[in-house]
Amino acid sequence: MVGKMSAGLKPSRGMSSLPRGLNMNERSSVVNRIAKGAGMAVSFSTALPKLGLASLFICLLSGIILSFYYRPFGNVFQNVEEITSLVPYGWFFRQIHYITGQAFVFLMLFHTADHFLRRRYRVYSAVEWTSLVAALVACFFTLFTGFILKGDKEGLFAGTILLNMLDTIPLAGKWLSRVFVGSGDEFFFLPYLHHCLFLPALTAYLIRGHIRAWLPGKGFAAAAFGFAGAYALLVDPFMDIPPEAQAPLVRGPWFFLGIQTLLKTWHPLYAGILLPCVFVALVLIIPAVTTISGRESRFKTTSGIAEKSLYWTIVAASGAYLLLIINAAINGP
Amino acid sequence: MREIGIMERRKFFKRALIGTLNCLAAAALAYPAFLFMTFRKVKTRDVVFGQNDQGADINHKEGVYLIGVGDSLKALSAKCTHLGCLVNYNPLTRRFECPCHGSVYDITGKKLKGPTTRDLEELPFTRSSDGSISVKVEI
Repeated sequence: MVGKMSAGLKPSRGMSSLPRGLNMNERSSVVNRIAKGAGMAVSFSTALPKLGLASLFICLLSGIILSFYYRPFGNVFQNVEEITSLVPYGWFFRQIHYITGQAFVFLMLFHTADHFLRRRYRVYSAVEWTSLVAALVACFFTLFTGFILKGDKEGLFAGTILLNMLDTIPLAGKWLSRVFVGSGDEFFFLPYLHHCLFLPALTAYLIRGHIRAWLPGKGFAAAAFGFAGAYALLVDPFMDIPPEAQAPLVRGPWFFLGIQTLLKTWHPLYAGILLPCVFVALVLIIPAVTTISGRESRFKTTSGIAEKSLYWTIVAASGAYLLLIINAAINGP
Repeated sequence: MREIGIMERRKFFKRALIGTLNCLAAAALAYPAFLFMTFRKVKTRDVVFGQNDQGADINHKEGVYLIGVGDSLKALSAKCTHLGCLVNYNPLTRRFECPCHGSVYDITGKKLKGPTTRDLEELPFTRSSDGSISVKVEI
C-alpha cells in the first residue's frame, strides 16, 4: 500500500501549491484529502501512529506497574528474575511492557519510513522535522536503556559498551558517558532514570505538536492490548543470561546488531558514534534542501538533484543497515 | 539615512550583548550542574582468592583472572580493552575470547586478534600470610 501511494502520489506538486500559514496538522489533512481525492487509501498510514500511540499507552501503564517491584540497585538480575518468576503476574506485565515498547518503536519507525518514502518531509518545517526525528532517536534510546535494565549479562554488556563508546568521543566523551551510565552498584540507576523519566518526557515534549489526541481510540487500544496480551500468554519470556555465566556470544538489541557487527572491524568512534550521527544528520537536512529548491529558482535544479541524491542515499543506507541486521540476526554479529 | 544605519547598528550590538550575557548566564548555571552530574568517586574493591580458589593454573573470580604459569603469578582484568565486555577463558585454545566483538588474547593477556588495540590490563595484587591473594580492582 505504501508502494502504491509512493508510486501514485506526487507530493512535490501538491505540496508546493499548499497555502502558506497552515499549521502542520492542517497541512497534513490537506495532503490526506489530496490523496483521498486521488482515490488512494490512507488507512494504513493513519492506522500506524494510532496503533503506536495505543501501544505506548499500554507500555507506560505496564511500566508503572513494574516500577513497584523493580529496583535499579544491588542484584538487578535477581530482581528481574523475581519479577518474572515470583511476583504474581510479573511475567505477564514484563512481557506486555516488552512487546508494546517494541511495537511502539516499530510502528513509529514504519510511520516515519512511510512519510519519508512518500516525501512527506516536504510538508514539515525544519524545526518540526528535527523534533520528530529526535523523538524517534529518543524512542530507540529508550529501548536501549530498557535492554540494559534487564540486568543480565546482555544488559550489563550493552551498558558497558555504550559507556566505552561514548568515552571515545574526543574531549567530551569522558563526561558524556557519565551522564548515561553509572558505575559499581549504581550502574543501572542512570539508565533507569533515563528510561523512566527523561526520555519519555523528552519524547512527549518533542511530539507535542504532532499528536492530535493523547489518548488512543478505544478500538486501537483494544487491538494493541489484544495483541500484547496474546503475545504475553503465548510466548515465553526470553532466557536471561546470568551476569556471572560464560556465554560464547553476547548480542545487543536487534537495532544495534548492525553496529555490533561493524564494531568488530571499525573503530568504536566511527561505528558507534559517527555513523549513526551522520545518518541522522542526513535525515535532518533533507527538508532544508527541499526548502531551498522551492524558494529560489536559480537553485532549483542543483538542489533538486541534491534532494534526490540525499533521498536515495538515505534509502540505500537504511536498506544496507537492515541487511546487516538480518545477517547478524541469522549468522550472529 | 545615516541615523537609521546608526540605529540599526545600535540595535544589533544591543541584541548581541544581551545574547552573549544570556549565553554566559546559561553557561554559569550549566557548568556546575554538569560537573555535579558527571562526578564519580573513584571506588576500588578487593577480589580475594582464598587458597581454595587457587587450585587451577587459571582461576576466575568477579571479573579477575589469576594466572599461575610456572612460578610466576599474574592477575589480569577480565575486561576486554576494546569496549569493556568480560572475556571468557577457552580451555581448549588456552585463550581469552571476547563474546561481544571477538577480540582474542593469549594466556598472558597479550592481544592476538580482533578489534582491540591493547593487551588485557594487569592488576596489582598482594599475598597475605594465610596464603590468600588479594587483587585491587577499580569499579
